[in-house]
Amino acid sequence: MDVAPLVVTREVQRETVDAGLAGGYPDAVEIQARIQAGRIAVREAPQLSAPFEEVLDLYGLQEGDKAVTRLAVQASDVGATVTDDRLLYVVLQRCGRQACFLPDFIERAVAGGRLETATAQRLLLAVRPRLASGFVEHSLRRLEGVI
Amino acid sequence: MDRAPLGRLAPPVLPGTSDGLDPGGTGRRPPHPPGGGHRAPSAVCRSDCEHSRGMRPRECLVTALEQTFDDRSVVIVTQSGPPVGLASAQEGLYAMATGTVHPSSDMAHRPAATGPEGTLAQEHWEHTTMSTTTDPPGPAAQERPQSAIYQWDATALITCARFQVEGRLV
Repeated sequence: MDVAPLVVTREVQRETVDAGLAGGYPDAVEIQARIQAGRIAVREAPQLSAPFEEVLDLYGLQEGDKAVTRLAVQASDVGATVTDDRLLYVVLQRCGRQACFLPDFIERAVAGGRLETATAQRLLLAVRPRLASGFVEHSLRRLEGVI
Repeated sequence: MDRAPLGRLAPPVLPGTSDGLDPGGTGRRPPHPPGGGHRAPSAVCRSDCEHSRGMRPRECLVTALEQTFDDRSVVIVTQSGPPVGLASAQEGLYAMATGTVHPSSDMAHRPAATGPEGTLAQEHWEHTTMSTTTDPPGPAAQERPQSAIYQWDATALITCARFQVEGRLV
């Protein structure tokens, strides 16, 4: 989370911090501290046009992911959206916005010298339960330099 | 796998197990099931794409651009001329939507192969003349400027924050 300037929507803040604190999750404390320190910016993501909102509904995106899509569409200074959700990834791509799959982001952080390879490998293993087979292994093999 | 409440060391995430993002019904999004519920995006439009199965060229190009990572280079050419130049898929989508080259594109400063400078005739886009320049490089080869702002979705943020917390505790 320290490898690049970071922004989240208000909805993501609610989902990660507010709901997390209520559930007693330590990661929520971590995220909240970063927001309070200004290391994570929080932005509103206004509604899009009615037809666009209808499309987001049809995709079946959850509220948090809708907000992510809105901000990606409307914020010109957001270079890419980091996600581990494949539906959101595809929707962002279809909106003509940069989407960065989380394993790819981790690889980039290593390539940029902002994350050690060993740490990246452990992080990829932590991400693996969320992803279908192959995604994390692909990144691990690339980090090993065998492909 | 339940996550530890505040002040307790959470057990590490093991491969093949659920990360239990919503074990207590907190309203947080549960993890995707192993295997996922959505198809992964195709890597790239190649010679065996839908174009050869009846899709119109322009549709095929849009599909190819959408299925291609935005930061990969593609060759954009017109039907009757040599390649206009290299562009990102993002620039390609802009050109498809507007019929012109994005002003920030490197292509905007090059003479056009045909027609007015910087203009890409939409109807002249041909599937057969658009191809990726290389096999897909890994993201490590696509490093972005460090100044780029990254938006994070909730689950990616939670995953990394939890990893950071647990790493610090260990």
